Amino acid sequence: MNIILCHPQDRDAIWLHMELKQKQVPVHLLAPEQLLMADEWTQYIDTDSDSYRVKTKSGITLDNTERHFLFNRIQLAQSPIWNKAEETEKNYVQAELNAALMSLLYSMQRKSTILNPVVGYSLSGVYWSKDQWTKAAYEAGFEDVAITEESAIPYHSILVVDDKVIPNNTDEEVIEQALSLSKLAQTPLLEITFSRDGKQLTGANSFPALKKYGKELVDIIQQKML
Amino acid sequence: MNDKMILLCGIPSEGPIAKANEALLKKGAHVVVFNQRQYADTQVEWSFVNGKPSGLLHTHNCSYQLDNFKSVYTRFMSEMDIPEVKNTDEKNIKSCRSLHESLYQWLEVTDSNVVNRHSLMFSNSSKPYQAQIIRLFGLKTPPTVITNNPEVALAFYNKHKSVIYKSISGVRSIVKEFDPSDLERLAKIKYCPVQFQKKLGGFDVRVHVIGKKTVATKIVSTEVDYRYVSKTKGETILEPFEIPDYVKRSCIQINAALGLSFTGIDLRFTDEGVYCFEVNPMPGYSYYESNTGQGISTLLAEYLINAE
Repeated sequence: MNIILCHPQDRDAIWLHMELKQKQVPVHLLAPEQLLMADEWTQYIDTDSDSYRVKTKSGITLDNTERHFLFNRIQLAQSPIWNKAEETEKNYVQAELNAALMSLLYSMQRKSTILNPVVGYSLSGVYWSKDQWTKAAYEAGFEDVAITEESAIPYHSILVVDDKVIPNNTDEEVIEQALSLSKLAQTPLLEITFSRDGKQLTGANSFPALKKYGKELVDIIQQKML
Repeated sequence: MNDKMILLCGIPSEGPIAKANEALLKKGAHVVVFNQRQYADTQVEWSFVNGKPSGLLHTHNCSYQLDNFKSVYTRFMSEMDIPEVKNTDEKNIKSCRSLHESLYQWLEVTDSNVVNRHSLMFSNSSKPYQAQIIRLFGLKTPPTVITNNPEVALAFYNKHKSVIYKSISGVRSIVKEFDPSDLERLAKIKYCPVQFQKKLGGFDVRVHVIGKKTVATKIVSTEVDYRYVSKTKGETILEPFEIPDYVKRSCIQINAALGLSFTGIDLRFTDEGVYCFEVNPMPGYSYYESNTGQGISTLLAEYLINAE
């Protein structure tokens, strides 16, 4: 089953879903709230095996008997029914839901393809500081690195999607460095931004805007979903 | 440069930091303490130079090249819980946060040996996530179900007869026995999945792993959760314990697989084998050392001094 896991306000993920649907790709759009308020959420773990079954109110069933492709954009597990709970209880439930979702996604990613995977403290890819990105960028082979604040407007950007880089006419050395950075960050969907002249790396982002990568991105995801 | 210069970060009077400091001094190490309570007299300044982090720590009227710290042992208290921060103004709070943030960032990127890096300490924020990693290394995982379905929970109880429940996340909770007759509470799990686990017999063992060395402590308690005996007027006895070589190997491998160098691993020895409950990335080892005389702080000091 092909799934785009995203928050309801994630316009880029919704755009990707519509583009794939237009190409007749079988894909479900699923919000974390639908998972967290599922009619059934069960995950078994023991020494030799693990299994899971989640059945949403809309009838989508995820279980470990099927391989999935997950385009995962979940950043936070929040269940609306707890919104009016007392603060301490709400925080406790939030931590519990986050932990349950992390465990479920980890179990899924061991048997399926997932962009981006959970990484221990984050539900989808790493959320590094600019210093962590700087260190990793140097290790990946970029020589000129000056990561700016998130609000800065990037002049030029590329997108790593697993083993491919958009645009596909990107310089080969940059492709190699970008793939290396993506691996170091354990984040297969990674946007990297550069200065106007393309020489200085100015940012990296595990939650990129998608629409600007257009048809090239849609085609790559379509290939993965077939 | 003193090749044994070690940085300790936290509150110097707190048990694990105090014991590590004492053990390091006994071994002749040059110890520098970043005392969070003295944040007002401390500064950190660093930047990347030729792709490497480089800078200075100023504290107690002395300045230290950050690159000269061979190892760092961290046990940070949350900045907002520092007594001196609680009763100060917004400007000082901001300055304290900024100092900590700069230090945290340096710890993430420095080539010094950091015990442990913060970014790698989150695997126990989801116990079943961590369990799925642990079980790859030869220790047993207790039969566990996480469910929002009361019928599944009851079926799990009927299969295992004796079941406990505990938090899924890293938020501390008291482990309790599941009472299947409490149907009113059971019905509430549909709003948030709950973790149920087969209650195991046997006894608890805490294994502290320091690099490739282990120290095991047996824990015999009258309570299901030995950490809370003071609340229940129960009794807990700690004593040194010898673990089989395969368990040592597994613990060392788990420690490394999580990218950590010092952990406290909670095991249960049973007739069916050795189960692993959890890996604690910031173990409060002084409790075990004080009750058994085991030299955990000495091993930690040796690790900090001899790190490659």
